[in-house]
Formats: sequence, structure tokens, C-alpha cells
Amino acid sequence: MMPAGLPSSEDGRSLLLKNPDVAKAVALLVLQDENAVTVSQAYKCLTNLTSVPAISEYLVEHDYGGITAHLVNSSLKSDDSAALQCAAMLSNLTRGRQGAEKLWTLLRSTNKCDDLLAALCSSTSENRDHLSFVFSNLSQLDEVRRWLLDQAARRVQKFFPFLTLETSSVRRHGAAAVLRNCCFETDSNEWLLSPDVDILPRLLYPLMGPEELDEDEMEKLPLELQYLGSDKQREGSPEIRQMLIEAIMQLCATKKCREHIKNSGAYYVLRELHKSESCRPVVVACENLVDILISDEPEPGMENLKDVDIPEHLTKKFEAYNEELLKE
Amino acid sequence: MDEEARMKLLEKLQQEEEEFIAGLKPSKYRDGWKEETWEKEMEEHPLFAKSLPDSGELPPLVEAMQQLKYDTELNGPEDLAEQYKDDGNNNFKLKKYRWAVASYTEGLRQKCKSLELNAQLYCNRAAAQFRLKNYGSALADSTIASKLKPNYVKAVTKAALCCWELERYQECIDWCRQLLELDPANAEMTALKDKAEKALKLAERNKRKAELKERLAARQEAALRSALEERGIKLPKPKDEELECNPFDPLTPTHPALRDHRVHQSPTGDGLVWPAIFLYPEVMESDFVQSFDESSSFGEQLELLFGDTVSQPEWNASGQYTPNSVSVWFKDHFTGKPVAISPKTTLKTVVFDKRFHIDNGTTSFWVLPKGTEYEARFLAQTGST
Repeated sequence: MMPAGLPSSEDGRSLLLKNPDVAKAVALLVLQDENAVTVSQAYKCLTNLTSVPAISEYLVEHDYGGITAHLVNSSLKSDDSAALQCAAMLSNLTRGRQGAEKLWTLLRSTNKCDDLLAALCSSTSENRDHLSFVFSNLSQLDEVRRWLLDQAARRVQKFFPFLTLETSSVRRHGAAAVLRNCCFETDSNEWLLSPDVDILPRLLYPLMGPEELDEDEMEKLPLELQYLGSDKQREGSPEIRQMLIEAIMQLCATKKCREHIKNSGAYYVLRELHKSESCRPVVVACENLVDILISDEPEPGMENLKDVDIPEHLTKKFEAYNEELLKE
Repeated sequence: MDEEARMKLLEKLQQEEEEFIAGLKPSKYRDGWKEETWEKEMEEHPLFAKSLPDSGELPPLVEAMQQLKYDTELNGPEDLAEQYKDDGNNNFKLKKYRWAVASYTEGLRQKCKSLELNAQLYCNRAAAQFRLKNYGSALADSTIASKLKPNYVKAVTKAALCCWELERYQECIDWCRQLLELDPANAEMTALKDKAEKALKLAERNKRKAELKERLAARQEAALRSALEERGIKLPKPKDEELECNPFDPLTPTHPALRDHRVHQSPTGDGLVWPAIFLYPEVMESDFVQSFDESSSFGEQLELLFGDTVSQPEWNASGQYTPNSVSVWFKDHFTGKPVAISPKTTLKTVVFDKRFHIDNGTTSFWVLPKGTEYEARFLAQTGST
């Protein structure tokens, strides 16, 4: 039995990379050994192994003894510490597109897509937190985004409480990523902003801090965001703040959605955020979004920003400009 | 909730119903027969009718009484409860909702064992209570009905509508969700749920707004109280919350022109803004200044009062009083003698002066023609006794 500590070190991982049979042996140990202590050790070993992209890809490709299916079943069976390890491994395995596709195919063929979503959303146990990352990884796939945006199934709404209630940063991070990815589906943007889903207050809520707006500005905000008081704290993670801004940015693709967002007082929230924001990438994302919100509408025929053809030299110039902003 | 649990619930409810009725206090006589028509109504009421109606069909209560008369031994609690339910339904159709409630209540008092029948009695009584706008009682009855009979759509619907009327929006939403699980295509309940969600959102927002306003007002009051104490002005402590007395009432100016301009904090910077009276004893006139900011000087105030030579009042038409031709004084609270105020002095300096006293939350000052015989005489005579 190999010590679980070995894969934690960089040298240990390098050694394992040259001997892939070791990863296979540990994977089979997880599946076959009946000793709980051994399995627990193997879980930890495998979690560390799968955090190395190359090993993760190797395991995805070979899937010894159906290790992926085992991880799914363990995540669903209970929310004990074993489920934590399994969810973390699934998160590692699905970071790449190939791993995400493989897991999604498995979930679809075994009818466990909604079960896994329910496992995340119906349990507050921290052992389930990493399922949030599993879903954000899965949502890189077109197919999964369409599944999440099924209007009758109301799946995307299940991620809202993670942004508006007290939850772990892992869940908040995963939820923000899922919602941002869903906002890339321009055809669903009107529905996302409609009263049926009403995504905008959920995206703006974590961006609001203790500052108090003037009453006339306050009254323009969605009702859920009005008069939150000076004890309201802004989301502490810059990565999450940036993803939320990017999500709103994606919702600004069409004229109708832009006007909805403009008329919801989003500018005031971003203005106050900008005053106190210390993380440079978030500042840049914020300024880009504000530029859209305060700009005049484009000429007729150019309203859908994603359909406008931008000359390549301008695209490169804009990208270089953003690079310069990030350096300041 | 299984069958056995529901039966236990039913027995418990019947016991509680009995205790409730036993504990009822006599209430004012309402919906009684009118004096001018009591004989006609007596004739028509089944319990007192002397003859049966000509139509072939007997009212259920008459039929029930006949059965009672001839088949007393054969009528069990369930039959009687059923009869009372029918009576209640007839009264309901006639819009006699209070009678309907009474009939359904009698039906429940039979304590029959049928879960279905008792659920219907509770649900129907809820409907009658609803028509009487007794939404609390209607909610209680419909809740019981929904527990006695699983998936009782009418009871759940009624409960949701009661919660809406009672402005208990979250509960309304919960009832709607419960019903929409049974009947997802129910458009009426979908609309009610949407309406309740909007109303809840607005109610929560209004609550937050009111709380913030209250907190802000408390903060402002504390700051004002602190500033006043700093200036040696004591206020009664807020003891009785029931008495609608504001601790700042003693600071309300008595003069009509200043009554709505009580001392308050300055919006810009720190300091207070006071109502002020400028007295001109030589000409027996006065000016009322509604907002005299502590940070401004008396020179500035005189400029406001006399600087505009065109629009002076009648008593100063000749322009005798100008910013530079007058002197300003406050009364020494201890000696009664005038104390000179230089134009550069701010109101704050005067307010902090221990000799300066403020009555009825109003600052007051004398304005005299500078260097005149009147000024000399006024200064010599004022406060000398």
C-alpha cells in the first residue's frame, strides 16, 4: 500500500506520471477493496492524482473498472466524507471538455442528470459543495447549457439561492460560473430576464455593498435590491464578482435585453462597485459593462452585438488595449 | 399522514370543536327576523312551518325531521351530518352564510366517523366563512379539510385565497405550490401565485425601507439630542412609548410663522439650524427667520435682512436700518442685560454662550440703530431693576 501523502508532492506526481499503472492500481483499489480505511486512503490518493491534468485525462480516457460511474453513485448515495472526495474527483475529471463529455454521456445514459443536480441543491452539507464545480465544468458543453435552460424543468433557478443566501465560497463560485455560462445562450436571454426567471436581481445582489443610494436611484432598482441597508456586504471573491459582471455583459447582447438592464438601475450598482473595487480585472470588466450601459444605442441593424462583424485588426487592437488596462 | 393518523386527528378536532362551542360567549343578536315580517318568515322556516309547501319535493330539513320523527332509532351520526351538510348547502345558495356556518357546525358536532364527510363540512364552512369575510376562520377550516382529505383541491384553493386576503403572501405561495403539484395546468392558481410573489416582494421591500427609515430617524434623533446636550439644553428622556409625546416637543416654536421649523441638524457639515426672531424695539417690529444655520454669521444674516434696499418692509422704507447701521444683542439670561454680538460672530458662538438662553426652541435677538440716542437709552434701561 502506497502512502497517500506521496501524490501531494510535485516529485511524487512526476514519478506517477511516468508510471500510469500506479494510478490504475489505486483506481481499482477504490472499486474492489472492502476495507473502509484502505478505500478512504485510496480516495485521498486519487483526489490528489486527478488534480494533475495529465493524469486526469489519462483516467478519463481509460476509466478503469468504471471509476466514473462509481464516483457518481457514491456522490448520490450519501453526503458523508466519501461523497466529498468523490465530488472533488468528479470536479477534477470534468475540468477538460473530454472529461465533461464523458461524464455527461454517463449521466444521460443512466438517467441521473437531475439526481445529481438534486444532490447538490437539496443538501447543505459541505461534502456536497464540489458538485457545484462539477456543474460549472459540465456547463461548458452546449448540450448541458440547453438542459439547464429547459424552461419547463426550471433547473437554472436552482442555482439562485447560492448567490443570495449564505453559502460556501465553493458553491457560490460554481453557481456564478454556471449562470455566466448559461448567459452565453443569447436565445435564452429574454427568458432569463423575464419575470419567469428574473435572473438580473440575482446577479446584481452579490455586487451590492453597504453604500446607500439616493432615494430616486434606489427606487429604480429591482424590488429585491432596494433598501438592503449598510450591513449588506459585497461578495468577497474577485473571481466571483468578475463572473457575475461577465454574465450581465452577455445579457447585453440584444437591444431588448440591454434596455431592460439599463432600466433596472444596474448602472448605480456598478458605479458603487467601481468606487471600491481593488482587483484590476474586475475593474476592467466593470468599465466594459458600464460602457455598454451608458452608450447610445448602435445604428439600426447593429443592435445584436454578437452578430456585428468586427474587422480583425480592430479586434486585435481591442484585445491589446485590454491587456494594457490590466497592466496598470 | 396515513389513515390511522387522520382518524386520530379527526377525533382530536371533534373534541376541540366541542370545547370551543361550550366556551362560546353569548353574542349580539344579528341576522334576526325583522319585526314587520317575522310572522311570514316563521311560516316559511322549516322548523316552524305549519304546512308543507305545495311543490312535491320536500326541503331536506323537513324531510330530515320526518325521518327523525319516524326513524329516530335508525338515523346514525353520519346520516344526520349529511342532512346538516345539505341544509348548509341550501343556506349557502340562498346567501344566508351565517345560517350555513351554523348548519355545517351542527354537522361537525355529530362526530361521525367519515373522514370524507367531515372534510367536506370543514371545507364548506370555510367557503361560508369566506363569504362573510372571516378569512382567519375560513383559513383554519380549509387547512383542517386539506388534512382530513389528501389532495383536496377545493380546500387547498380556499386556503390559498384566504392567505391572499390576509396578506400572508408566503403562505399563499406555499398553498399555490402545493396545489400546482396536483394540477400543474391550473391557470387561476398560477396567476394567484405570481400575484402573491409580487406582493411579497413589495411587502418585504417596504418593510426594509421602513426599518431603514426608522433606524435613520433614531440615529438623527440621537445625534440631535447629543448636539443639544452639548449646548446645555436638556431634554426629557423618552419614557412612555404609549404616550404619543415627542421628546422634542418643548423645542417647538410657539409663533405660527416658526411652528413648522423646529431646530434640526444642518444638512451640510455639523451643527444645528435654528428658528430665530429678530426684534426691532425702536419701531415695534420683528422678523422671523425660519432657518438660521449655526455656521453662518450675524453679519451674513443682517445682509439677508437689510441688504436688499429695494424690497424693504414699510417700516424701513426710508432705509434707516442697514447692515452697517445696526447693532445686534442677546439677553444675558442671568442679568437680563443686552450682550453685544459682533457681525463676524457665528450663531454657534452665541448658542454655546452660557449667558444665552433659548425659550421654546427659538433664538431671539435685539436689533438696534447703532450709535443713536435710542440705542443708548435702551441699553441703559434694559435689565436694570
